[in-house]
Amino acid sequence: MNYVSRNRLWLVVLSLLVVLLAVANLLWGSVSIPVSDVVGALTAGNVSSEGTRFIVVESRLPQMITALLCGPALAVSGLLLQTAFSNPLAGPSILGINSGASLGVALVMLGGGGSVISGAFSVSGFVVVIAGAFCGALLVMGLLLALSTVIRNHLMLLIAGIMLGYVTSSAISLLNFFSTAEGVHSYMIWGLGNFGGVSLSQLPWFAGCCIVGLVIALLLTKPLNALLLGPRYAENLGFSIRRVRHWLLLATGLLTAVTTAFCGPVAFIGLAVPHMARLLLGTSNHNHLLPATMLLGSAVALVCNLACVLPSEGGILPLNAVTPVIGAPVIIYVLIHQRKIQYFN
Amino acid sequence: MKIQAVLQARQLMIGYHPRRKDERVVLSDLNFELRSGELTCLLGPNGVGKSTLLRTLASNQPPLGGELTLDKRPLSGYSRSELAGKLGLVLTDAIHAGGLRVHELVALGRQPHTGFFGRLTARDRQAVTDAMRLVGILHKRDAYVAELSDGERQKVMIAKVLVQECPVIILDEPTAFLDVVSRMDVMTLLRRLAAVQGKAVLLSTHDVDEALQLADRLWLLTPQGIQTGATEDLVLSGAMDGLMPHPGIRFDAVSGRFQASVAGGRRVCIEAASPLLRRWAENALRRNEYRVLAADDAAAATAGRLRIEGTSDMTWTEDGHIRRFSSFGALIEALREGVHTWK
Repeated sequence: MNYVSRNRLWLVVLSLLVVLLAVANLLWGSVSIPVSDVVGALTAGNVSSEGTRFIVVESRLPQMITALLCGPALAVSGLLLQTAFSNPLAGPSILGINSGASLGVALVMLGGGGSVISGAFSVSGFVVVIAGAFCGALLVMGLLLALSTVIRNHLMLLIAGIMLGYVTSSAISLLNFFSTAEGVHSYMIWGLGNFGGVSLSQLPWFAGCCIVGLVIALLLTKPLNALLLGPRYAENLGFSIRRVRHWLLLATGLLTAVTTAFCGPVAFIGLAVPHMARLLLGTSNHNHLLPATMLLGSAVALVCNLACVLPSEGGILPLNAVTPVIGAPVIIYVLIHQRKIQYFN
Repeated sequence: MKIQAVLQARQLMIGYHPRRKDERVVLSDLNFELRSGELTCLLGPNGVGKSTLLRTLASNQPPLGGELTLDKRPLSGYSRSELAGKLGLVLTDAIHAGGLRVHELVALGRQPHTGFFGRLTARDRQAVTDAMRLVGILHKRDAYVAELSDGERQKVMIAKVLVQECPVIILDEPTAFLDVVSRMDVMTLLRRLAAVQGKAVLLSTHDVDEALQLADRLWLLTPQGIQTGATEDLVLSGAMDGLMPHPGIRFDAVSGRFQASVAGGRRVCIEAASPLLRRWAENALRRNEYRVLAADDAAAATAGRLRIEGTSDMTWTEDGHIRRFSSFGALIEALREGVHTWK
């Protein structure tokens, strides 16, 4: 079997895996619910109690769909950043884009005294939080892009990104300091990361933003491949680098902003999943890498969500306690085998 | 095949930061034309502006003044996508495509001709295969780019530019970092492309040797400007001497090479049994700061005299000292110690 059909097969396998994990996410939660009840709740059939129906439809279903979309959103923004900066260690959390979005959210949330996140989310509240996160993410990305024209060295740019992250974090600390206790608390809870933050009524908005971002990314497949050769070659292949960068900025900003606003600053999925996809397929060709990254992002997010409810006696682990456990080993593996893997040479 | 000018410059001024206070002119008043069906080599010392010129020709940076036309239309009037099908580039930029297969990278060159998603048609695939065969990389079709040697990688980039199907190909030092064999390979390949496919090929290089052998035309870039012409015309007109204006270096038109000029005042006459022996004797003595005189030179009487019968039979005569040597190694060692120390 040649590698093209092997890659196609992988995409099919990954799709099946995602479906399987999605079902598992519906069946398995912090409260144990029999399969028949889950099916009943979803098909509007017989359910043993209204509480069960509520848990399945109002909690598990939106949480599963959120993870299903949040994973690819983060993973794809990581992939776009890695290609745009030709840097294997680029990712929304490393480059401070997460922090930028967090700052935007913090401004809205702490400025609003914690009412925005904790209470019933109106559509306007949703828009305000998204807009805040989007502005914050775009601000950091814009700064990074400006810096990237001055700082040619990729490692230096990475460090500049980390510095930007520190500055935004310090601004967030300052906001926390002057905020109410309630606001600080809700901000802290949000910062732990959680796929359960999107209610059924907000879901269409969340899903819409994610899908728009992912579609933009898919439409950028051709210039992304050209960018593997560096900006001047890409330009010689007929692309306006400025325009491509703007679209990349928009897609990454949107994806990072919407996920950060609702699921908190989720670490490592954006950084690690593109590497997992590259290792799995053995290619940096975006024709296959991009869909594989999306599917793998879904799978990883769904696995993380399952792991969060692992302590089945009532407790739910914070998402950001789980993602590094999966993400960090991948990155360390990539660093150790960098010579052998060579996809950035 | 009819040879014609495709890229023309009149009074071209190149440099950085147009329309800004710190505008920096690198070179001005450049007049030249790049012709199809010919391999043109751009030669010049480091820092004279070769890369600036190539970047300007490739429309990566705008000219500061003058006129630059491609197919009789101003270069600035072309859109990015139009230019992509007209002018192909091979750069020295680092690429990050180690995770692509060779044919995937070559196929990127088809992008100006493919649709929005870059799907390859049968014709595109055929062009990719043909280009890989032409540059001699077809056997590595499915290898990762990261696994290639520098020479192979350069061939892949040339295949990429071939499938772009541009009438003009510009290469920035395509033979740098290559060993002799790959260098010759790449240069003859480019020469053949120009001659057979009628492309206008321009490349910059530091390798005077290969440029003189294979270039149809030379562009000599110096701080004074550009001199263009057929290789042999330029060499015989003495234009090469001005290329490296350095007192320690001069161009030897006979050997076609730049040589370190002799600093020392010691002189020698050589009688050799064959031109080959003479050539290498001169090489050894020149390196040791001897000036080699012609046999009928007036100063020859007082100079040292080296008689070479064979590779292991040479005699040095000077100031009444006579000594035989069985190798150049022994001769040079004795000369370093000084003739006056000989017994």
